[in-house]
Parts: sequence; structure tokens; C-alpha cells
Amino acid sequence: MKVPVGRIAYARSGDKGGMSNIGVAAREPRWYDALTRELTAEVVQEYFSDRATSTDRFELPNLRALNFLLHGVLGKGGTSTLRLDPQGKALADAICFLEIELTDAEAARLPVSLNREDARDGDQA
Amino acid sequence: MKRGVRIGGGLGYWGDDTSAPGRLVREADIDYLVMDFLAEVTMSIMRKQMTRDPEGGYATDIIPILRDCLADAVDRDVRIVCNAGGMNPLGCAQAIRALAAEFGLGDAVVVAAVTGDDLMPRLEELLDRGVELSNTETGAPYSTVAGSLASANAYVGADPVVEALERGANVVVTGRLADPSLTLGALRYEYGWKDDEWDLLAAGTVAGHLIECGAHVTGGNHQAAWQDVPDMGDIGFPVVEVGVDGRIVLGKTPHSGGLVDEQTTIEQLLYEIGDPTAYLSPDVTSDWTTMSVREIGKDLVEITGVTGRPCPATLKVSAAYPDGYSMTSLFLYSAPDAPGRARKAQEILQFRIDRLALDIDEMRWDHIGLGAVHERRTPQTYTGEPCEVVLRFAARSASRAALKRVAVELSTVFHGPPGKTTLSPGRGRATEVLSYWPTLVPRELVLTSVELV
Repeated sequence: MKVPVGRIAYARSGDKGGMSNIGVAAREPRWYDALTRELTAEVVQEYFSDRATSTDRFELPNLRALNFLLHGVLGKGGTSTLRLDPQGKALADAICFLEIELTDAEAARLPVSLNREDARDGDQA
Repeated sequence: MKRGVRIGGGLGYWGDDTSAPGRLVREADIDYLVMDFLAEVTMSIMRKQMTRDPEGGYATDIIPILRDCLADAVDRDVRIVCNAGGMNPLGCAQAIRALAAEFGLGDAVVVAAVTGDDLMPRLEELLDRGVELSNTETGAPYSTVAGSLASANAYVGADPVVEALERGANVVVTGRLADPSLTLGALRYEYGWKDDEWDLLAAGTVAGHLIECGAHVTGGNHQAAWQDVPDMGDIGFPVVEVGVDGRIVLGKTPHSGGLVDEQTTIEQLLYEIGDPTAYLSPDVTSDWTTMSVREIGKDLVEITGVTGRPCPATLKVSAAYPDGYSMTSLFLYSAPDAPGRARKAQEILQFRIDRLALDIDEMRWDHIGLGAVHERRTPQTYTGEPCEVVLRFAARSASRAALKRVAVELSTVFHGPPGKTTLSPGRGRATEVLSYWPTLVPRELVLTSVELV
């Protein structure tokens, strides 16, 4: 089953010169494996290939999070790019639209909503 | 158990809510108020201001902030550490001293100015000593910007903050001190952490990183669940309580809006990081992958287990150079067929601009309302026809005159489709672009000094 990343994760992004980083964290610990499996550097680079020249991925298993470093997305940086969102703040939202594949077993444990109480109930199920 | 040192983060950026710091001082039982004013190119803007006004060049918001809370800070023994000094820490410190005198606090306030981060007077010397100053991001050699840098400041670490506090300062004003080093300096002074106790220095750095963006860790910009953030209009600012062992507890202004939980904490931890096993700051190489984050109460999150390794041999330098001019213009089109009208307007304006054969380096059109931010990533569910579209034009050129000519041409937009509403009156203005030039300098070549004012 395909779901947008935002169903199982949240993100924050920002600028680092001409690069931008996007941190993506699992909403619940159980989603970290699916994130790590599906959200590879190659998948993310392809998704942003109209803007990024290359993408590095780093893992933070302690925070159930991945960090992506997208090179070139902001041109020469936040002050000189002509783009909207010159500091890459909206890239966090963009990555949450990316659709990834969940196994049947994983899909069966999707919460009914993003409300945190619902999500936790799902964990106990 | 003895309470740890409590540090409030009063500001996320220059221009942030000037009432937040005072509220932290009065209501959050803090020992230190730290404030980060500087973004990547702020220094260049400040340097430009200083050429017009030699007494300026610092973040002037510090004055209304301290007008609100300096007396209360003195009264409660809260020390203030901030990088409001920008290009002119001494001038900033003198303005604070004058404010203290105005309040009759001349004897109670000791202001320290930290200088030495400004490398502009030393560029030739650094080159002579073999420092390359090449662009670390693009690899471009310094020769491509030689003689044209608008500013060059080393990110300096916590040492001068420790020295200033040891010498009795209760207001420490720095230039381009690294954001988390403001917090780490206070902790090193309080706990006597040595400059090679890497795990503790890393913990102090994480504490600083957590509070350096102000309300972005207390429920502001909370992408995970912004709808659930209570009372966002009265959002609290962050407070870290740090123990001598490096244990961090993150909270916020009491009785305020917003929230602090595992997700808001992780969002901020992930902000503007690169390789999480090697977060580089002037003081330490911190490892973001060993810490645990745990909710321990309402709006209280505990962070433990941070580790660190020796600091880098080089300091990052924040430099910028003038890089031509840019201009943007906005045209709002209303229904019916707002998207079609905007498309047509773009077509005719582009035709007219091209016909002039001007020296334009880059042009860009955005159709705001039609997925301009997310572009091809915009989900299908959002692609219905909007009632309005904002057509945005942006251009960059080495020639200000060329952009002025373009602005004249854009005013023919009224000859095009109907339904255009004025968003911004008058012609677009060309403004100077400052581009970022990240580089490195060996740390032993940067010498800071502390002056009591």
C-alpha cells in the first residue's frame, strides 16, 4: 500500500548555504524501519532531481529520524536565489507528500488519524 | 537534588518578539538569558549600516528588549549573553551602558564586549600566512572575490563568554559568536567544565541548539501537529535546565501557550544539521546520534547521553560579497480564469523584456496559487482552479540599470489581460544581492578579546 511520508513521519528543513537539510522523523518508533527502507538517498534525490544536484542521507536511530542533505537546491544560498521559499523551509512539507510503499503488515497498523492519541492506540493494538 | 543552571532562549532571530525575553526574565526563574540575533548574511547588512552610521552596525532591537527587562534581570541576578553586537560589539555595549546609566543601574551593570571575530582588517595577513579562504561549498578560489568581500567573520566559540563572566560581566555582548556557544559559555562558567571535556561540551552545545531558534522548539513551526498546539498566540519561549553532568531538561515559559514534547524537540534537533555524528561548532564535535529524548512531564523533555569529540582545527568563516542586483514584482489576477490571465500576462511581458535584449543573468516566473512552492511535488488533491493567482516575476543582473529598465517594461502589464489587482504599488525596485562565501580559517589565527565597558 502506498502512503505519503507525512502519514508516518514529520519533518523540518532549513538552509545551509546553497544546501538544504531535511530531517524526517518517524511519528511512532514502529515506523522507523519502513522509513529507513523506503526513503533512500536515491529515492529522495529522484524526487528533488529538478532542484538538487545530489543528496546525502544520514541515520539517527536514537531519534528514529533520517537527515537528508540536498546539495544545490538553493543555488548560491538564501540571499541570492530567486526562488520562493529561499531558505528551504517548505521542503519539509514537500518530502511529506512523497509516496512510499508499506507492507500489508505495516499498513494494517496505520492509525486512523494523525491525532497522537489515535496513533498511540495503534501502537498498542 | 540541586537544581541545574536554567537558561532561557529569548529570541529566535533578529526581528523576533521583543517582549519574549522580558517574560522569561520575570516568569521563568532563569539564571541566564541568551539571545541569538545573527543569521548567515546579517553581518554583511550590519557592515553596510556601519558605513552609513559608524555607531550602528549592531542589532538595535537589543535596546528595546533591555529597556523592558534590564532592571528586572539585575534585580533577579539574571545574566544576559547575546550576539547582538554584530559588526560593532563595542558600540552595542556602550549603548547598553548608557541605558543602564539612564536607569540608575550604572554600578549594578557590567557590560562586556567580545571582539576579534571580524577578519576584514586581517584578510591580507591571513592570505600571507597561507590561508586559502576558498569557498568550502563550491571550491571556488578566493581570487574570484578578492577585494570585494562585504564582510568576513569567524564563528568563535565559548571561551570569551567564560572570560567575560569570570571578570564579573552580567551583560555579555558578542559579534559572530556561534549560536550554541552563547549557552555553552554560561554552562562552562557555572560548572567549570574544562575545554576538553568533550561529552559535557557537546551536551552544552545541544542545549544551546535547542533554544537558539526561540519558539521553534515550543510549538512554533510545528510541522508534526500544528493544529494541536494550544494558545499559539501566547506562545512560550524555551528554557533549558542543565545539570553538572550534562543532563538537559527542556521546558518553556510557565503559563504560556505552545507545547514542548518529544516531537517539537526532535524537530528542533533536526534543524540545520549535516552529518549528525559530527555536528561541528567552534567548541566541540558533537554526536547527535547517541542522545535519548524522553518526555518526563507536561511540557518537559529530558535529553541525556550526548557525546562529543575534539573540536575542529578550523573555524567556519561567514563571509559575503556583493553579487549584482535582484528585483521581484507581484501581479494579482482574479477570477474568472485567473490562471489563464496570469499565463497570458507572463507571455506578453516575457516577449517585451526579451525584445529589449538587456543584460539579465536570470529570470523566473512563479504562479502563486498553482503549486509554486512545491512545483511538481504538489499533490493532485490541491490542483483545482483557484479564484486568484499571483504572478511573480524575479530577475537578477549585474546591472542595476538593466533591472530598472525591466521594471519600466513590467508597467505595461495593464495593456494585457483584465482582472489585475495592485498588490504592491509602484515599480519594482532593484536591490543589491549579497551572496554567501563560506570558508575556513585555522582556529589559532583567530584571537578574541574581552573588554569591560
